[in-house]
Amino acid sequence: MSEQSLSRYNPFAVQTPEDISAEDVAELFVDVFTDFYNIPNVGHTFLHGPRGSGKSMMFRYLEPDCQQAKFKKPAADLPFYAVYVPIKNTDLKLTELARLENKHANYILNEHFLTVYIGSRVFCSLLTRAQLTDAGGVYSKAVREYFEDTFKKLLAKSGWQDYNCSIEPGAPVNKYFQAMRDAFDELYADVSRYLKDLSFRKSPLPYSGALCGYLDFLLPMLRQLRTLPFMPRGPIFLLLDDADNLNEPQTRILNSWVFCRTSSEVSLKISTQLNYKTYRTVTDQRIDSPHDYSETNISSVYASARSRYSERISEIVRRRLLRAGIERTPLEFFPGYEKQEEAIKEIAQVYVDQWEESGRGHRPRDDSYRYARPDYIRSLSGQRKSTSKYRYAGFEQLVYLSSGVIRFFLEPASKMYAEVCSTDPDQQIESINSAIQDRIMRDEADRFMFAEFEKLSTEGDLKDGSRVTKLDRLRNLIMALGGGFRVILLSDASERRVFSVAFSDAPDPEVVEIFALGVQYGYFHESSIGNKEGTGRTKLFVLSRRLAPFFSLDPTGFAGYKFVTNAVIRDAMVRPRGFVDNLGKNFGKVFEDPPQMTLFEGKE
Amino acid sequence: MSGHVDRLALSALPAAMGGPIDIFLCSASYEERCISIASALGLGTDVRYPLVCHNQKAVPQVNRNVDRLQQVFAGKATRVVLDKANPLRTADQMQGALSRVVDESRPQRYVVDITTFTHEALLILLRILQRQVTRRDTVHLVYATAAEYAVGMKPEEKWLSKGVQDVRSVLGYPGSARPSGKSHLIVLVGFESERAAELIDSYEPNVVSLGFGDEKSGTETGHQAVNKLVFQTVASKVRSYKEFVFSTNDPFQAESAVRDQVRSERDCNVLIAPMNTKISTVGAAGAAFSNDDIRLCYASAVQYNVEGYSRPGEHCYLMSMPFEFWRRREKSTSSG
Repeated sequence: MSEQSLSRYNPFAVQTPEDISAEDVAELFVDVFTDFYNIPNVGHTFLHGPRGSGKSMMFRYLEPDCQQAKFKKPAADLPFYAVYVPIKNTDLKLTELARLENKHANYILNEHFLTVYIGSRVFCSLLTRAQLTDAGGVYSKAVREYFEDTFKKLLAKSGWQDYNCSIEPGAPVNKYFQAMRDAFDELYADVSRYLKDLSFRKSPLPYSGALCGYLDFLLPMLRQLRTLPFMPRGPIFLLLDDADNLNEPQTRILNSWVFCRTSSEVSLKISTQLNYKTYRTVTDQRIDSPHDYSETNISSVYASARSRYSERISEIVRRRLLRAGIERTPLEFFPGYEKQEEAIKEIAQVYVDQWEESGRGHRPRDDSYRYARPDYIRSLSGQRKSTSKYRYAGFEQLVYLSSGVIRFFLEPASKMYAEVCSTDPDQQIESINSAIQDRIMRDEADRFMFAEFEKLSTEGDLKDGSRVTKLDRLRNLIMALGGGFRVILLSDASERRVFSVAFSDAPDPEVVEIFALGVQYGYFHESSIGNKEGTGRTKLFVLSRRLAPFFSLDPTGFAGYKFVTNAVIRDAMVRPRGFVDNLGKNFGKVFEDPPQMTLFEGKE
Repeated sequence: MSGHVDRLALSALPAAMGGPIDIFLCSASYEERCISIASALGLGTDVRYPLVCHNQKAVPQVNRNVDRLQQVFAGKATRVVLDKANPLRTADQMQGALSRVVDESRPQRYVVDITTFTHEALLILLRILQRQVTRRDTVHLVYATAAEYAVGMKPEEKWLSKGVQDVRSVLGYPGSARPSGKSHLIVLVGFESERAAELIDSYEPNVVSLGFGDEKSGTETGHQAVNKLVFQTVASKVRSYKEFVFSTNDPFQAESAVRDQVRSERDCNVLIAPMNTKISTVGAAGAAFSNDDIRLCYASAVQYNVEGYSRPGEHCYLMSMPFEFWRRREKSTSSG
């Protein structure tokens, strides 16, 4: 048996935030809460974002050990106490629970299961993250009272009458926390045992264990916990990470907790990977934003504030390079392809010089910004087999290509770094050659389009026949739009950089479903834009810039959008080639331009 | 424990089986191999109750093979309809079928052709058998070898499945995790790198153990080389892992390797994903029978290599499962 690990420190390696020390988090984490201001504030919040977009790292940063390391304050002086509750794939979603479907016990047992799971995490947090020093024994005395007067009584009320854990007075606080954590672990194990007995039974099996719910157990337990002298005055945050991994009854239960509006005492911060099962409660009521919770989608925030995203990445890279002893700026470390950038600058200068005579934009720089890079890409496309000569390299391009997801910057950067290392393990790496950057970004795009789709797509699998067609249609839609955007890039259109479409009429449910599938798999993200009539807003679907190398598109800068009709998109889902061919013949038949706008209006 | 494993030519199976079989279970699949054991036993072996399992929604090859298995058993086989998407239904169907044919008044002789059950269905069946078999009964598991997997493809291009539809705990093996504990995922890596990598990615365990088949234990020559390639692919996607080897042709040795691996991280919640041969999957079940803390999980694939999954070999493994295999218990691994 041997332990394997990376032999050399890779500054871009992606680590599980749970395993990063508080000191490292304090050093490496770039404060993004000005972009996501509702996360560290009182109130229930949903935080949506694809895997790798930084949700878990935000949650890790909120934990008390990181907050204390960052702000050099004791836990009691923090504005909140945050408990991290990871919901991993099979932690709570046990197959046996399906035996309870359509039975009265379903919600009761699922709520108990969820409650004891969280309860265990609360005391685990106090043990490992609170970092309490109890010099005068004050905390020990207070926790003892809590243990005897609150905790034991709540357990007895829940049905665990013979809980008889006894701890001698004056014991360290951690001993009490351990006991309370172990009690929850034992309750969790009881449920597991009951479920195992239920595995192969079709008839009901009486449950005689304890039952803990939110209002009768978890909330009063946390309410009293807040009164302890080492706890902050603010609320307790329960950071439920990856709540998509709950089963549907558990999801409805959690929504019912959100519905309770107890956020001044206990705020639920719920992260999802855009696959949250329902927003209905156990009584089928819908929870709504902003009444019941606030909501943030990381992709949408960064799509509409790309410069902020770029600043965040720049700061993350700067800190990581510094930690690896590399004294280079992100721009220096990821240089662009000099020959290419010079050529683009020359084209840009021509636009500036010609603006007074033939300029289209309001200012000389508008045209150079809009057309120089697309012109350069077009100049390569005429040459035989030369399209790939355009290099997707340079820090800024890499930021654009990560499409608002930090992991899609760090992972390829990690591969680039590893590749340079492999050529000479002893060298001090000062920068990544643009050819290596380009090759890895192209590989990433190909893998995203081909390999990921092969994973998703299926032939002959009859388990869910309808899904086959949906995935085929999604692939066709992406091929049609990507190909279409390429046609526009090579045209003389006034706006050549296009990555998104909005509907000029109402999309039918089937079309909406395909786009939703695309959003779930990360091929699109969803935003909104003023509708064509100017009477309200309509959904905007933005193609992931990760695909730019696959379709030879220009990922940089602001991009425009086009209006489409439902009929055109339906057709594209079946005949993507026809869509692109029609576009080549006549733009107007396929895409409608947004109303006339200035340079930065009418952008995603 | 006195279980033993014999490698035999398929033609030698009837003689090795000796007497009549009370209950024979097998699973029809798109693989030609699903016929191997039943055909080898042939009409010459007295099988009182043949039970042919198959998935409810299946590709045409499966239905053809159900018919072929019916022919082998002269039309007296009972079809047991499983549901790949619904493990509860699978369990109920298996349990129902068995309860209708088991004669509790006398010792039963079970023979299970484990070759082409899905890992999940096999694990569920083993848990049902664990609850069913008594000390008087005898249980033989039989596994037909494949001469080649991903037929005709280069070793580095071989694939058996693509994509992960769902990752779920296996019914009957919920384990007894502690919410406060760290997690230890043990993967018995097979030929399916993508499924293994996706499983690790989706679970984000604190400790990962990756096992690959012991070179000496390949069910046929050449399999281990492919397994090692797949192992390397999975390993390259994992930041840090522990490596171990296990037997792919002996469930008792595989079980022992898994138990050692479980013990190597005593305070962790253990999750095992058996993804290599069905023989080693039996070993993983054995480890879970002896330790209630272990949770087993299964990553269902989106797509299988239906056209060229395998080419049948000419041998089989016959495993005699002692009563102790089903009824052992060791001390809990967790200290909490």
